[in-house]
Amino acid sequence: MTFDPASASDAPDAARANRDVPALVDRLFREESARLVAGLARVFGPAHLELVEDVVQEALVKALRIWPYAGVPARPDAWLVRVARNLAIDALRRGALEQHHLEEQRAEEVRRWADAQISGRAEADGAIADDQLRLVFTCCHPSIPFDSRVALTLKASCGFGVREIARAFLADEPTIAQRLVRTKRRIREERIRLEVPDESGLDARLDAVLEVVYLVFNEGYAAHAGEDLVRADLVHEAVRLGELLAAAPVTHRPRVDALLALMLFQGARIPARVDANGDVLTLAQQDRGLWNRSWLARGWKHFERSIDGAELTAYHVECAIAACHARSPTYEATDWRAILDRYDQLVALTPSPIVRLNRAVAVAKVHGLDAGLAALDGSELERGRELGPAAVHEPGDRSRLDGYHLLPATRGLFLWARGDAPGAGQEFVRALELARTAPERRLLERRLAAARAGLPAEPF
Amino acid sequence: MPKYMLVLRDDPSVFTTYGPGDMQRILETYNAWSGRMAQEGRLVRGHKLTDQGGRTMKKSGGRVVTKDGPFVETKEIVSGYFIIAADSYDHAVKLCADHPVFSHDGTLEIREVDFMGGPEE
Repeated sequence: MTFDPASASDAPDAARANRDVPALVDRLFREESARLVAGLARVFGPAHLELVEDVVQEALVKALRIWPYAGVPARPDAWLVRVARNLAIDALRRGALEQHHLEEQRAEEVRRWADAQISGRAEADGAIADDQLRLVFTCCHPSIPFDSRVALTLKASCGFGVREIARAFLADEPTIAQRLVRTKRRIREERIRLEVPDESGLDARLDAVLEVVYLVFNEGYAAHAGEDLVRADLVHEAVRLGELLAAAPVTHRPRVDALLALMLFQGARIPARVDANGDVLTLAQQDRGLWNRSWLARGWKHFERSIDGAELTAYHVECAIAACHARSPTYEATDWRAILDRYDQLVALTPSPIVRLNRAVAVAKVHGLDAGLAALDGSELERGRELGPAAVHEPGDRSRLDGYHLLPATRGLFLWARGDAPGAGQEFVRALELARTAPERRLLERRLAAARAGLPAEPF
Repeated sequence: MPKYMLVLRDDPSVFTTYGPGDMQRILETYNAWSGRMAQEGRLVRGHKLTDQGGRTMKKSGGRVVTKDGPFVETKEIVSGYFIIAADSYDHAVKLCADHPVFSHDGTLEIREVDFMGGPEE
């Protein structure tokens, strides 16, 4: 059964509609938004991204207005394509392109696009994936500043609204909106094309895309402030983009599989990361039975593919560390020796503060607390703080850490484990001064109270 | 059982700033609410009214004058209605306490359908 938007106002009785209505698929609006924007951007060209986004927004709003009364149509995807098609053709008729001679040709392309989507042909011949690949390469174009690449990718390729992007990045809406407008203007003025670069330029361009994907993942995965639902969706979108890149023959590289496996291994822990009160649980405290089995299985599949070849990137090493945790049945059984070897490798590839800090944990596990403390003091986290927030927004810095509190927090755990509860308490107090988010603060307050009460040290 | 008409009013322009995730969540709350009403056999019907268009007719100076839209005076317009079965006004209010229209700052007017003691409908 199909649902004709033209007669949407002749909605069936809500009572009837609600009995035979399919449930709304998770993330339907995001995924449809991404699909519609990518398809229409190809038809209209990247210079008209703004127009395309407006058309798609209007189509989604129509669904939001009508579906509560009429019920979700049997094929919501087809419903949205039809509405978007009609709105796009209306926009052409109004002269939105300012190129009158192209109007009929574009309208015809819009119709062809819509027919292919509705009939399922676009899905079958990979056109949907191709459209989305082209768009993500445009959003992550090197002529666009890094922060703007992230914002535009979220907006155009991941179906995030301005408000949601602002919430995810703790920025205000006008800033994000302005950044997006400037970015689209740049695409227009610099005539940035909508294409997957050819073989010669592909590797560097692919790295730029992977950086954005990993940042989106980390924003969602890190215990930042902000709404949980938005954060979970960031993780899902990063994984979806990773899968898009891994599935396409042109972009399929071992490092894509490595990043994807890394995200799947880490993302699998999400159900175990908070307790019933919404408090953060560390790796040591998590119930591994709650880890997402299907994500782990997909992680292993891509992990296998990632080691197929000579390529060795930081993603490979990080992924190998995540794999060590994923294969360990308990925290106690963790192979810290193997993890330390990986961190040594990673420090050589990306000597970022957070990498050094994580390495110090492995050092403490393998060589004892004194060695761990010495490794912490050698970490450059303190210097990172002096550089200020700008330093951690650099694309090369995968840490993306505003968590400078992690240095004193970790030192506190080490001191506590060594039996120096007062010293640990001082470090937790320092960490509390630096921690920004409520879950982080609650974790630290819990530890501070326990250390002061003389309770046994928390495992790290 | 008495029937109540829920008249939903909202400002359709607020949605221009909503992201797809926001929209999905609002729609999910609508589905949950009407699903619950339908399951309890309370939902009689509901219709969306078009956001654009509309005519207001009124007699003025001895003749009927027709104007475009109800939207001239106010940003809020009637966006749709539901009819539900409830025991009383208090009961209807309770059923609507978590109505999704409030999630996008809309308002709800509840009016009992007056069957004047005759058979319903």
